[in-house]
Amino acid sequence: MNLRLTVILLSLLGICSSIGALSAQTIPRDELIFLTSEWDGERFSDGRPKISDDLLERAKNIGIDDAWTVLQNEGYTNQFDGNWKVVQDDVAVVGRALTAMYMPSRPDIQKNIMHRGTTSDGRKGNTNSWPIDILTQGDVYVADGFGKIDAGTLMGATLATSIYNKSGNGVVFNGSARDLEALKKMDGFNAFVRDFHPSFLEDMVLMGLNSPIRIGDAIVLPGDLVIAKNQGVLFVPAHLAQQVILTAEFVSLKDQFGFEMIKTQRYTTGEIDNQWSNDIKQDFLNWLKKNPELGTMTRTELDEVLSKRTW
Amino acid sequence: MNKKLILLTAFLMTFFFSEAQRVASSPDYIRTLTSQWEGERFEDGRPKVPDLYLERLENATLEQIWGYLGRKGYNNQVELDWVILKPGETMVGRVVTTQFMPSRPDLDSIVKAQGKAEGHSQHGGINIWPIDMLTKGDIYVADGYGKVKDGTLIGSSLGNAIYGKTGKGVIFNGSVRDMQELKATEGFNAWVKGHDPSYIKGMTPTSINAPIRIGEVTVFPGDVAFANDYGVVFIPAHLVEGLVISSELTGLRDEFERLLLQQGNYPSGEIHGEWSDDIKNEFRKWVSEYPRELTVNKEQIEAYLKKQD
Repeated sequence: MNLRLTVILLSLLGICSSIGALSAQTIPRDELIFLTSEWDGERFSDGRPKISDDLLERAKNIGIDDAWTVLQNEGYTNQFDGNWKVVQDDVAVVGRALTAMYMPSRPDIQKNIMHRGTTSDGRKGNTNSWPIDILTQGDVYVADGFGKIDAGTLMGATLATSIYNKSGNGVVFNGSARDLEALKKMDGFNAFVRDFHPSFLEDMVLMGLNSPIRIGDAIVLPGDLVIAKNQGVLFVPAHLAQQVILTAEFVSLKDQFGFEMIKTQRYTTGEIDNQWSNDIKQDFLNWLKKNPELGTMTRTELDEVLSKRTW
Repeated sequence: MNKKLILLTAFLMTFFFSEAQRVASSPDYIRTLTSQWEGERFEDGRPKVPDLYLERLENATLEQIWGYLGRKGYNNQVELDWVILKPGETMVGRVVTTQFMPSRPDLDSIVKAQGKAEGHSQHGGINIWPIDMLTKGDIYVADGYGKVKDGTLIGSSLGNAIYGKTGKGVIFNGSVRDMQELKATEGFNAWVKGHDPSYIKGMTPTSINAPIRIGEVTVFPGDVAFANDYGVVFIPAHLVEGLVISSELTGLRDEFERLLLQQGNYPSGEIHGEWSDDIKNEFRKWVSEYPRELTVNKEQIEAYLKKQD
């Protein structure tokens, strides 16, 4: 092992020096931290923001519309994309984004990338297995396959099994997948793709790993909180995850209260589905007091969370 | 296993993303991307394909270029379905690339700060940074991810600025505004996916002179773009010379064959098939009296004729 490591290190050094200042400039961890510098919590060893497992669990229960509204309020207007096909209805995919960018292959760059992959590691197989090798539990593999369907299948049943094993999660592909029938048998697994196709992957090369990518109308950074549900996929910047989840949790309480008020005809729909009056706010706080299992809140906290649009 | 994997991954990531902190790619990075180009380069690192070849390419056809690139294994270099500002023209030039992405405040602030540190202009919008970098003979190629409304990468002012700097035009997987005024800018042309009167909104240039995708094509800085009524093809810089020679030879052969077919001195099967020595001699004579200056020399013509045997 040590000898092999030395050999690898030496060959890496050789390659590094041949590309000169390229690799001397920066190291990847720094770059990831730089791109996600508003995140000040825990990070993976590769620099990716590590949203806590607790938040991931809570994120599974929030509404995608409520989360979207919070992002909209914060000026993040390009974080949602719709128009998906899925393996299973009603299996949400929630986790930390690991991003990959594929591009149409051209021999000059493909040769370099494959050469490096195979010589420094004896690696076999296409570049589309490389992102999968670095998945960890709670990750969501998010890939831009530029919407290619025929010969754009980024995984079949085999890679899907590996993805599910490593991440415990499904995937989001702006591209396609094969083996739909076999994928359907994987309990708990889901894939948000543009379509399914029986073809093999061809003429595509991995050009970015954990770099910013575009998924339809949305921009995705590594470490974003992915919330993929029937309606579509939302990418929440890591540093906003907590705020989004807290607010969405509040909104679901608020909705529960609102439905009760409308049913009992204490307020009209128009009054509830709008900026709340002082009376409604007070009634809400009283209602919370009567239902302590739902949590507590002060008037200041309520004003704070209601200061931006929440309906 | 794990250590090896981490090392490999770290290394690959270094290769791919060492430029992530920069907006405009460094000359070293561009040299690495285009390492098969051995000729002259711009200061920014881009291959400088000689003007002579660009001029010669203007006489090529999309099919000739497609055929040559296909034989070299480059099967993803042609993009179709364009809105053309001034149909009927051919535009050939050296590519400067820009990637636009949907904006998000955290990334935008990084791009702005980094762009300032790299010395890009702090006046006007950040979408003018790539335009500031253009030189004579360049074509500004940008991926605006097909966004049309609120996705207009330039209007007439920037169009005129681009023409002033390059003598050429633009190719956008995106849109422009001011089509009317741009049409009046003589010499300028644009291949775009649409046009709209709106202003650019919610978009950020995340890289300049890095690889970008234009539809089905991965485009590198320094590629040579060829655009006409029938489509756009991006030619890797190191393949242009061979292409020019090859397409000139193919063009000469086609022209000569048409002449022979009109004269009717040979059966058409002989003209289309392998040439006899008689036809070859007629071809040599015809080429030596060709009215226009040619890029191919005698040896290249002889080598070509020999290959036909």
